[in-house]
Amino acid sequence: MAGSQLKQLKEALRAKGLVGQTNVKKKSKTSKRTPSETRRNDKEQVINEIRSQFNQFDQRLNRTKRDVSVIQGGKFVKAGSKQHNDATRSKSNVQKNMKMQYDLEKRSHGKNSAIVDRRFGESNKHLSAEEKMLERFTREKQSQSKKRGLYSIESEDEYDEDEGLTLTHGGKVLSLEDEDDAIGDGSATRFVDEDQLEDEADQPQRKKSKKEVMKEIIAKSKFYKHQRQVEFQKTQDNIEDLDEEFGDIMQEIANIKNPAKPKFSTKTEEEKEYDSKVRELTYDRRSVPADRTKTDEELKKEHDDRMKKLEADRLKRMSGMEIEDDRNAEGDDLDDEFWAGSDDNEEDGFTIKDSENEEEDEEEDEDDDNDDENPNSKPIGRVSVKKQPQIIIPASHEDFLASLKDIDTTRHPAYVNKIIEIYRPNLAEGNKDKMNTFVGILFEHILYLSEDDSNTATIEKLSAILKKLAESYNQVLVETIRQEINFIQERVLDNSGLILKRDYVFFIIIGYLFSTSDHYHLIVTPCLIVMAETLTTLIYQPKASLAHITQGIFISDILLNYQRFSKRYIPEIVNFIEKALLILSPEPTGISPSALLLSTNSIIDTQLNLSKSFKPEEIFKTTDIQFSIGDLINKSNQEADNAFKFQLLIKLISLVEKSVNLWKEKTNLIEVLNSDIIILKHFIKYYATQLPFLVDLIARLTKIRTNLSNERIPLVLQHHRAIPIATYAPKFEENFNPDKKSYDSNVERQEVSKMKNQLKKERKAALKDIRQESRFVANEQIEEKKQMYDQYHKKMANIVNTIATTEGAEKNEYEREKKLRKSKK
Amino acid sequence: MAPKRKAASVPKGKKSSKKDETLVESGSGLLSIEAIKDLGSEIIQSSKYNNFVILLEQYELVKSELKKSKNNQIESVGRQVSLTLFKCFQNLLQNEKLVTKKSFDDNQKLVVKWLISKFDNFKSIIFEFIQTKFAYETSLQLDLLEIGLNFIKLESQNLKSGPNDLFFSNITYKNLIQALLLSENGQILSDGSSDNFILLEFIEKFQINWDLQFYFFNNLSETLQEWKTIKSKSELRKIFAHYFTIIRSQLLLSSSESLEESSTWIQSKLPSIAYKQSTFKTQYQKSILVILSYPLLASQYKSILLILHKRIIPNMAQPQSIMDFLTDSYNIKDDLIIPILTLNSLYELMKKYNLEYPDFYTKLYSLLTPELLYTRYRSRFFRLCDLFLSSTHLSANLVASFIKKLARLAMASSASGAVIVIPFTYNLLKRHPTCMIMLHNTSASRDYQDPFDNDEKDPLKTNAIGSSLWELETLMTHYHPNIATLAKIFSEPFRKHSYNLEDFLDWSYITLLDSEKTRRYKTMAALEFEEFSNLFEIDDSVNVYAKGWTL
Repeated sequence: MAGSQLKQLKEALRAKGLVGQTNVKKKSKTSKRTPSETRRNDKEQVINEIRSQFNQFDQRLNRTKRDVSVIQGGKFVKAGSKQHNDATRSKSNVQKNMKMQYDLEKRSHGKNSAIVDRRFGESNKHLSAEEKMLERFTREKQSQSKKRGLYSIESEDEYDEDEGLTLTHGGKVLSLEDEDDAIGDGSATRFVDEDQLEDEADQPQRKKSKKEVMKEIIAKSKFYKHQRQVEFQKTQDNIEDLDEEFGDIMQEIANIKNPAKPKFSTKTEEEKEYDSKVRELTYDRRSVPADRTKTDEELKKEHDDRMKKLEADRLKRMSGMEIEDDRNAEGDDLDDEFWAGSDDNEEDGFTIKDSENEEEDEEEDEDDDNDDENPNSKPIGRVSVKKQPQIIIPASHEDFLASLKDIDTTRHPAYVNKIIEIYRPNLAEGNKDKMNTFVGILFEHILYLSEDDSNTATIEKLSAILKKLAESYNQVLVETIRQEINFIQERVLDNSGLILKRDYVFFIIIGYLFSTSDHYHLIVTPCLIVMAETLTTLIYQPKASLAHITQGIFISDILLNYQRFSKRYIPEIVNFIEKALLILSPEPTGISPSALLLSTNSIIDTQLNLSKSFKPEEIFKTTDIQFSIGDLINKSNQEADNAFKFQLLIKLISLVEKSVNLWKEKTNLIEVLNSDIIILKHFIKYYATQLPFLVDLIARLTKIRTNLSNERIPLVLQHHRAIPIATYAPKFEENFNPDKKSYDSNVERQEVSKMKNQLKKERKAALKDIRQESRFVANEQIEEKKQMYDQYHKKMANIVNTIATTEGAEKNEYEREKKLRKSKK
Repeated sequence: MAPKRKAASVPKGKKSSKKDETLVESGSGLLSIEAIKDLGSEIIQSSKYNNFVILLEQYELVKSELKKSKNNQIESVGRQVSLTLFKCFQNLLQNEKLVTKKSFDDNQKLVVKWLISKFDNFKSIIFEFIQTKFAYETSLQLDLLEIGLNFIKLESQNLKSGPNDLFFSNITYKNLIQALLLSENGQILSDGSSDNFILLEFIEKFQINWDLQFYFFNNLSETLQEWKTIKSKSELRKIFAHYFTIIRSQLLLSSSESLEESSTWIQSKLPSIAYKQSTFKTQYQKSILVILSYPLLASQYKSILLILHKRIIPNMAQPQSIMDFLTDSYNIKDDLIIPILTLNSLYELMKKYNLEYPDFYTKLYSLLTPELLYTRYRSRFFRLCDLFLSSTHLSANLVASFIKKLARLAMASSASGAVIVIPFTYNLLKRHPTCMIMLHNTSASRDYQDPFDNDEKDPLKTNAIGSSLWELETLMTHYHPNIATLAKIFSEPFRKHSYNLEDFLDWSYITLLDSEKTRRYKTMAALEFEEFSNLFEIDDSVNVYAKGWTL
């Protein structure tokens, strides 16, 4: 191609047949090319082709000296290659589009009354004018017919009138039916359904019109209404008639003297009874199949199972594991359990019938009355407590003491039982709380009673009751006990480590009530601390008195009792026993070698030693000695008496035995035995005849020691399971393929992940677009502003310029004028 | 009124008659308050110095009365006399009538001499009152102390040779502190100090005034030395109690920035020697060494040891000189606490003054006695012991001995002792991994015997390293749940770097119980399910809880 661009363009256009003689060689063209209709469609395309041919800048390739690859659209692309250029072009296209969009928006920005062309198909290029009109007409028709919908409020008459307003075309009424008829000949337009037409033709009966249906319905409803009215009138009349006759009938009835009665009571007595029974039965509770009486074996098994569970729980607690409390304190059922037990008590002989207290008797009688009265009237089986009971549950221990003032201590358990019976939690609301406090009071009362020696039996019984109650009422009891522990500790601190008699009983009851084998126990653990504290304070008193030793013996014994199951080690006891033995022993300085002792390195003579010359006449075969707590406290406060000391000594030796038996498993028992044996050997020098068991004991302890030291092996505490080092070996894929995106064999999952990936990509792209757009808009706005300012400055400069020029011109004029005038002069 | 008296003052008889009147008034040879006031104003206004004699005589009476019983009237008389006399002598001192001048003639000199002797007489009466114990604690004694101190001030201001001289009335002060130390008032308290009320009053002034502090130590060492030979044991203990009460508070030497700026009692500059730290320290050391050689009560021993390393050693010129005392206390056998308390001071000397103590660790090892874990000062001991054993260069034998011995002690210790021993041992084992063989020994032969020698005194020879810590294994079943859990660290991997010992040192049964008191509970307190037929021993019963006990 040669010549100027214009010439080239003309040439090209002509070559494509777009300009110049289009009808030249018409014949050949028609034969070769598509008809003009199609040509017109091609025109755009052709022109575009020509345009792109002429825009050489779009075609140009950027040649680079070196082969440089860039990443474009996630792919490596050679810089300057076709793809590269394409990308930039598309980018610029995007830019152009955005610009256009922006301009459009800007133009319509702030204009709220813009006309929007909502006419159908107006923007559709593919429809011809004819088609457009047709479509428009159809739409209109449809929208009109829709108005007459099911819920139209307009009346049918109006509807009819509306019919008058019809579109016409060429004097003919335009309607859908007509059209159907008109075009129904077979020419396939998209507005007619041939099948439908045929169906309609086939239907034998025309559907009733809506109007007809409505008319029918109205007629029916009117008819029924009328019928109902007639019926109502009829009954009204009847009632009136009857009312009129009523007076007459009544008169007649009054005249007849009860001859009618036998008429009704035709039933025999038997039948009546039967009826009443039947009636009663309806009120009766439906009988439920009774629980089968369990056989002895089953009962035994149940008991065993329960025991096993309790034992397992205990072991768990001992090892410090938390066990969930599956047995939430269900007051009612546990109460029944308590009652099952308390009956036994009554059988044992403390029935209330023997009571001397009249009031109580009355109470009991009334209670019985309540239970016994009207067997018929208690079909529901619930005891109704109608009046306030006379025995009032105490709110504090003082109250309780006041109410017990007149009652002999031996009868306290019966009284307590009475209270428990009256205030069973299922009898009245709030009883449960009352019982809760009462259990705390009962505990205090036991301690209170313990001050008197003669109350042993009462305390035993009350403790048994307390133990049963503690199962269901725990909370206040625990609080009371914790408070008591605080009191005891205060006493220990104030009274140089000596406690009262009630505290002795306290510690016994704690062991009796609570599970002392637990790893941690809310009550037992603080008790252990206090007890250990008493043991140490009494040993490290500046002057250890006999009272300290006796108290320590008791505490140690109870402490060992506490540990009978869990067998925990108590260093304070070891220390105490040894120290106490040393204090009591005659000529303690004679013991050697002292280095094996655990409690001290230097043995000091005290005034409490048994005198060397003292030889008790009695011969003790065993270590079983019975001590009374009260005597113990009294005697220890008196002058040291050798016989008493000797008894203490025997008790201490029994404690040695007990502790050794308890701690058989402990690895450090050898050291404990070492010191024990040394001291016991010292005693045997003096009391071999009085204490014949001592020889056996020493022999046994020595044997245990030799066995233990033979078995003793060094510790191996640090055997720990080796913990593997985490390895992070790479995973190899057999059929690795860099193009493969996923190696998942599960197709569904693969699809899902694919979709997810796609979604992610799309999202990213969308975000990117949005950002790009906003950035573009911002840039545009800045640009505009700049332009505006520029324009403004230009304008201002212009104005200034014009002013300056006019001013200058004026000035020149003035000068000239001046000169002129001067010259004139 | 005065001129009138002046006119009628010449006849001596009249005056004596007046005196007779007053004697009659009080009935016991005591003057009335009015009379005393009159006598005082006579001295000041008309130089009737003879009145001094009358006034001073009053004290004899006052003293004898107060010794017998409490008597407010007599006390107020005494106070008035003291006040009057103080005013008179103050007047004389300020008018320089107690100083002989060259210009004086013989008569005048004689008068001055006589006045001085009366002044000395008054001062000695003051000291006597301070020293004497009366039937009750009189405020008169406090007044006299105040007067004595004020005389020191007045003398220092007025008796100096030239107006620009720096002077401190040393002799009076010396007599005063001697009287204070010898005072019969007060008891020796359980912490070794004294509750003498005059002394406590004095200490208030002593604490804030440098001159009182300096001259206190400056004057005292010879006197103390002298007393040591002549006084009885109980007297010496009392002196020590007073001395200790005075010196236990912080001295200005260590607390204040510069001595020159610290306040003084006499309210003027002191002679330059008083500001020389070395002089003070030498004097201080002398007196301390003397006082430490007194026969002390055990409580006094403990309390002086408690403050020795912080309050006393820094003030000494040559702290090494106290070494003998420390060595002696460290070697005391029959009391465990004194050696423990000595440790602090010994450590101070070793650290700062390069002291070498032979067989230190052997001695330290010997302190590990069963009583150690029950003493009040166990935390103090373990703090230091931790320090002494912190070196990683100690031989494993030695450390193993300490570990083994402590484990032995824990076997019969109180709960609070066990709480200390466990983390302490852990830290030692962590620091000396060679000792881990005591916890984990797989190489033992079949016929293994425990090689540990409990009797051996030398920690290097006990063979503890071949033994095992069975005692600590037993503590894993300690009755206190927390201690049992704590002891289980020995069977777990030693991952923790070390335990902070301070968290474990100060537990006691009280604090252990306190932590229980606040604990809240979620579930029911678990009950004993075993059934016992009886609580107490009854003849035929088999299943008894407290076997062998009846109520």
